[in-house]
Amino acid sequence: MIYRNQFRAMGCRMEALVDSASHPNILEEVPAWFEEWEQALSRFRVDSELTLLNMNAGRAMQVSQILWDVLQTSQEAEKLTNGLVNPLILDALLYAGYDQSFERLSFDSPRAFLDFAADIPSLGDICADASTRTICLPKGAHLDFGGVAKGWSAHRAMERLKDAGPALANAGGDIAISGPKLNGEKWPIGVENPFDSEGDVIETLYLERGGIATSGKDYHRWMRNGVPQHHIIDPRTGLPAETDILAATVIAPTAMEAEAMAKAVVISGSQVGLARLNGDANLAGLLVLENGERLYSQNIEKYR
Amino acid sequence: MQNRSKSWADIQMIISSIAVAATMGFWSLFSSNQKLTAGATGTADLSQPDPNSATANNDMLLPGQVMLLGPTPQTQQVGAAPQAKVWRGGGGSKGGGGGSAPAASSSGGGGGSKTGSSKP
Repeated sequence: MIYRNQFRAMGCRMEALVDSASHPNILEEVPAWFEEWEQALSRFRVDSELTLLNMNAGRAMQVSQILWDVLQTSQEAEKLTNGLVNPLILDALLYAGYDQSFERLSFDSPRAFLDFAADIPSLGDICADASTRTICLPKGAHLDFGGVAKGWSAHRAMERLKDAGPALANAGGDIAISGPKLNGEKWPIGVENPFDSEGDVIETLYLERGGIATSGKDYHRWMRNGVPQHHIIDPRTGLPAETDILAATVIAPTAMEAEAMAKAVVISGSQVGLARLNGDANLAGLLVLENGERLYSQNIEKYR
Repeated sequence: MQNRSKSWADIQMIISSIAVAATMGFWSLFSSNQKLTAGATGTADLSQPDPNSATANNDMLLPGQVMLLGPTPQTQQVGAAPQAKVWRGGGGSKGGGGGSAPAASSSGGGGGSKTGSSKP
């Protein structure tokens, strides 16, 4: 029997599923895990550990194991994507107008739009000492873990759940799967139609294990003085990415890699993004373009 | 002559009294206004049991500004913790959005999930 726990955290829908012969009590603990992670990693909480770290940019600060692990994940994502995923884009996001949780963001905030030519530092500019778990952000730089935190949370939740049975953890669309269901079947994953706010499914993909994530500019969009904005910042310009992709779904060995690659593909655009997916046997993906066209990577057939 | 200077002294005395009285009056007036404002603020703060209201204020802050406000009371964060609801899931990929899903066995092909762009 598959047992499911759905709840809200990090401003998104979350769910955890376990395939087990009897009710797995551990499922009831999952919301508390996310609460703990959100308290450490959210930039929207004034008393989160991340907020404290951002306030102390330029000074060394000892951090929790949670924040330390997510920073390591961010550094791996930056390497995997050649710098296209970089959580030091917080100031660029704020300049673009993403200055509060999206649920509260007004469609056209009265704050004046500022032309922002970013000089976004690399994660390599962060001083980090593993022996003391101490981090020192470059002065004036601020972190926003965003999707990295969701991918990491999905993976971490799945790791904790898998002892109770085959498990799936979904953190706002970033999904981690531990293995096939008890009967050996794959887990069906519906890919939402980015043109439909009702969550209609345009494709069902079947995964045995690993990660799948979607990144897109379909939902997190707003206007700033008549200029359309979205939350996917291109670190090369510091501005919302100019791309022909509306949403990209990527399958990868882990949810963290899937999340990072999905974002990198959106930023890169369809031509470069699809070539990147086709060039790596561990990756597969589905791109939905602004014009409605769908592009599939070569490996996607294994999952259909 | 003496009478004239006496009456001028009286006038000076009256002007001084009026000035002192006016000063005291204005002092009292503005002082009570401040008390009223403080009282109103205190009431507003107490009538915010919704933990989200604290977050809404915090959301507007830029890094570096947050220190001015100090930390959010811990109880508000505890109140924001999601409530666990566990039920038998399954039934394909219609998850998300709360509410219970129909029960399904793992052999029924259900128990899937959905991926999208972090829709709240």
